[in-house]
Amino acid sequence: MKGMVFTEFLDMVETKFSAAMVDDIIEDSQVASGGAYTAVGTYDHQEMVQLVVSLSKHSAMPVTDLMLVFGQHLLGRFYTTYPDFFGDIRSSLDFLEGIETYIHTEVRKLYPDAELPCFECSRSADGLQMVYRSPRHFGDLAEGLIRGAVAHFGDHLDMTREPGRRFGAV
Amino acid sequence: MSVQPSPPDTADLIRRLEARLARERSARHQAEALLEEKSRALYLANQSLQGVADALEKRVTERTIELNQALQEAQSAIAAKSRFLALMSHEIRTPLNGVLGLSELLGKTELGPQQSNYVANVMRAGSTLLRLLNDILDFSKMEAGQLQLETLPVDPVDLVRETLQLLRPQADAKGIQLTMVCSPMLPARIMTDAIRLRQVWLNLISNAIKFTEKGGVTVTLAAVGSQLFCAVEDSGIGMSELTVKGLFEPFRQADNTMARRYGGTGLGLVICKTLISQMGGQLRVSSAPGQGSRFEFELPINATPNPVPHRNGTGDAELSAEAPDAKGTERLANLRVLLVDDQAINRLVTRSQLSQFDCAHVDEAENGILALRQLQREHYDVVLMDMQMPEMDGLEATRLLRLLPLPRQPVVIAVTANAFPEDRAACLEAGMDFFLYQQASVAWAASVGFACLPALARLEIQHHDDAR
Repeated sequence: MKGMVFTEFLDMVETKFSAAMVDDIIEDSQVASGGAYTAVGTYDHQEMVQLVVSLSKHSAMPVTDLMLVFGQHLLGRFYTTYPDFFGDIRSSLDFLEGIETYIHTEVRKLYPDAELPCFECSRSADGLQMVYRSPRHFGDLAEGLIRGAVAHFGDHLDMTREPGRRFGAV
Repeated sequence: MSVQPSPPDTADLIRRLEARLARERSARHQAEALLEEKSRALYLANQSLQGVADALEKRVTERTIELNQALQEAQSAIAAKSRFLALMSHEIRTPLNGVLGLSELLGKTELGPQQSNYVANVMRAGSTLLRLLNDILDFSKMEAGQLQLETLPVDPVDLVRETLQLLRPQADAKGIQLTMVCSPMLPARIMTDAIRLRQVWLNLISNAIKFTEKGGVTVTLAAVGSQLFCAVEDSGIGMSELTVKGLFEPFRQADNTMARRYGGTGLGLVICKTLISQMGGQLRVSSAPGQGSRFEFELPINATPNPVPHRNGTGDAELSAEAPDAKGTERLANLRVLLVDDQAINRLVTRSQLSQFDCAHVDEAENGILALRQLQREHYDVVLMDMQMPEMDGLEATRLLRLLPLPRQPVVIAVTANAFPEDRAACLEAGMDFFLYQQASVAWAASVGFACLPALARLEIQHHDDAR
């Protein structure tokens, strides 16, 4: 997983909770990297799971909620860091539909070693169906990102998530 | 009262700060290592790109050299082809002219009906061969972009009238009417290439006659603005849309049965179209099966403001094949003529033709050197000079002749089978007075006589001046 996700996560924890909370969850989770992350590095995604579980324990908030919040936060950070990926896009559905075909293609050019999830999209008159596939099982983070995108574009959409292997019908 | 932090809190804070510092330091080292790694990768990628760019540049240079070589080879091949064409043009025309000239002379001797028929057929076959040869040579020149047109004042009505006169026997034989329609206010002169325009007229009108069984052929001339509008219309078999489409493609005729029935190379119209477009016009055709055909084009009346100047002030330096009047030829009898030609057959033909005008004093020389020797020994009024000869060619001989301190310089007429305009220019440049294109036509004999007429006129002026 790209280091940027870790640095953004720790930044969020520091902002929403405290610097001490960052120290605590790193110490508590005993991640292999020792919590020393750089945005341009690449780290085991398992460390993210450990950090979130630790944060859940310290904050008494469910992991799912934390991931959803972080996903929404991360979308905003993506927009700040990579505005080009948003270009002239005017709607969240167009944006979400282009993640696989456009954004991931460009990300692979920048970071050939990036391990990206897969979104299968099918657009119809009444909406967009996205099927999320990833060996890392970050469905909650993906949902947070999708919600962040909908909020970013100011769209009012009904969103349903089907559990199990299938995720995210908007 | 001051609040002191409890010692364990301070120790914990310090521990946390140290841990953060250690994390930050570690992250910095990681980032630096990554940066170093990426920089190195970038450097290597740049190196490799530079290598690719160098290789590409090298390849471009190599290809450019190869292309230049290929271009030079192609250009020298074209030059060789042109030289070959010029040579073949001369080599093929010379014997052919001999065959045609002698056949013509043979035709004038007393022959039985069967023999006359044979001779007429030899003449016809020979003429067809010559026309074919001319077409192929013209087409090759056009393909090589080497066809040069002259721009001289030409009377458009005269040109059509002459052409119709020439083709009238063919039309009469088929019972076809030839009509010329001229609008009022036609220009007296247009600036164009007379020989090439005549070739176009001959081709279009003879085609019209060829493909018309009854009715007639009408040639129209009209002045429209600054252009001369020209049309040839016939009441012949006409053409389908498909035939019209392929009409201006080389080596195409309406169909194969056409070629067998009517003959021809299928180059005539291609040549006409190219000639007209070089003259600044466009050849168009409209036709329908059984409805006849109509070819039309327009020519600019003043194609160029700078006409090519004539060497002699009176007229075209090229002498056309027209019969001189009887009164003129009588005066040819006293001319002293030297024939310079390496081909015995050509000398024989020309001598026979001159004998028709009672030219009694005709001598011969086989090349330039012998001619100069002869010219120093005896006086001649007219020299009929071939261009290409062994030992010394006609151009060199004329140049040297003009330097000789003779009491009176003869009139030199180039007689050659070379049909290219640059040949004519070379002849005039070398100091020749007239250029006679050795045509194997029925009027050839007359043209030789005619060629001598201006020479005679000039001589008479010289005699007159000398007497004064």
